[in-house]
Amino acid sequence: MALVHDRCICLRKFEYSETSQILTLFSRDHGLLRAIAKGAHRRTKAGASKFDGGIDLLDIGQAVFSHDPSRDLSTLTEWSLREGHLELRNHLRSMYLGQYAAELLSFLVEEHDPHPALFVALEKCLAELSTSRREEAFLGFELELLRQAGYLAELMMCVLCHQELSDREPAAFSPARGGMVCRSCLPQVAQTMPFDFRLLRLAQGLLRLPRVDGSIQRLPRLTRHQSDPINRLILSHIEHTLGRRMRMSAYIFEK
Amino acid sequence: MNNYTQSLQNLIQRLSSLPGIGMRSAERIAFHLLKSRPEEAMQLADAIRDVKTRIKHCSTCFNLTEQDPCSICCDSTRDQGLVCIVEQPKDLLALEAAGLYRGVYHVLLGRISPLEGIEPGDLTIDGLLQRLASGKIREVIMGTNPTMEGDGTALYVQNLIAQYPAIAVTRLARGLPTGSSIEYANRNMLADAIAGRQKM
Repeated sequence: MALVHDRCICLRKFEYSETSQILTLFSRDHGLLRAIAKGAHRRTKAGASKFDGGIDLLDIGQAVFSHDPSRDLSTLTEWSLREGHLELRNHLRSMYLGQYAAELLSFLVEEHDPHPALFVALEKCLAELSTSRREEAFLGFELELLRQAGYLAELMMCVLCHQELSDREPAAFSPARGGMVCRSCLPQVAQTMPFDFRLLRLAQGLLRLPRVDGSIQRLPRLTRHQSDPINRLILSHIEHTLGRRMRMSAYIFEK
Repeated sequence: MNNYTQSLQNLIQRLSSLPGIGMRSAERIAFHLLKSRPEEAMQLADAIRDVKTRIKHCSTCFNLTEQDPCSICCDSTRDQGLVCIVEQPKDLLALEAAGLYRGVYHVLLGRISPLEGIEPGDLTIDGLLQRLASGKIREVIMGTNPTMEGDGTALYVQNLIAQYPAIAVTRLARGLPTGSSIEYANRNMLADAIAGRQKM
């Protein structure tokens, strides 16, 4: 089987035995894949290791692995760590946002479906999470992930009547309908989440910002008062769409 | 395996469920036990029973012990004001094997792993906070593993300890392992080593 070289980000890891790991990797040119790294924690006495001593969550590395989309599990044969995000580990919120980004990506992207621009966007987002721009960096990545995965909710107009939403009338979000519902259509929808129109305008503005290599440019500074309600709206949309709860959500909104 | 008797099949099945033991190894061990003297096999059975009935967690530090509190918590020659927090009893054993640490421990029995569904409530953090509230502890050493989850657990615990300003929080040093070679060190090790360099 052909071995391929690719840059990868570790989204999940499972310590399979004393020395081996099973990993969910997001590779730049081969998309999402699951791989086993046999002997990942093994080192020679001098410290040499084919896997740089083991792979950790959110590590970015240059990987060599067997690539066969018909198989469930690839075999990772080499890993050279390029970025370990040590700065991220100094801030709990940054760490949780990074893991939330990894969780969302692992569920929203299909295996073996390459998204090179999304890879670049995640790499950039992880680098920015350790800075004071973490909230906008995460939200920008989240919106880009939804857009590229094809799950972006309708935030620009009413999903029922397709009219532009007015600033003067309260609107609400319907996870079941996958978008905003205007005031006049609200009686037709059972379960909705009220949503502040100023935050809606903010989210719409983010979606209109220019993009370079899959990353939204010129993101405005955001506080958690602004980003949390938008993140909650997106979470309800994702959980309704996927039919499962996101484990990291409890840490993002309550800690 | 279908030709084996029911009891032998059962034994092989049980042995093969142990970590690192496959079906072939399980068969070899089973036949070794069949060939061995009855008292030898029974000693093994008794040892397994003893370990499951006698060993429990220390009510103070949550280390594995046969007596409660454990021998480390009872040791008056140890510094009871210095607590090293580790993830698992095997981490404690590794530190004890080095014989360099003279404080006491607190075993969390895991690390916070949100993606695996392991939450703070699954660990022994409440027990740690009770110890800290006693006012006898002056320093806590974070001895969690230097992984994303280990560091996350350390940060979470550190935030809780912040309510006791008199308690100093430190963590184990990081960087190049002694006896290894710089050329084999990964990026994180080198970054830690440079950040934590010491004056000679």
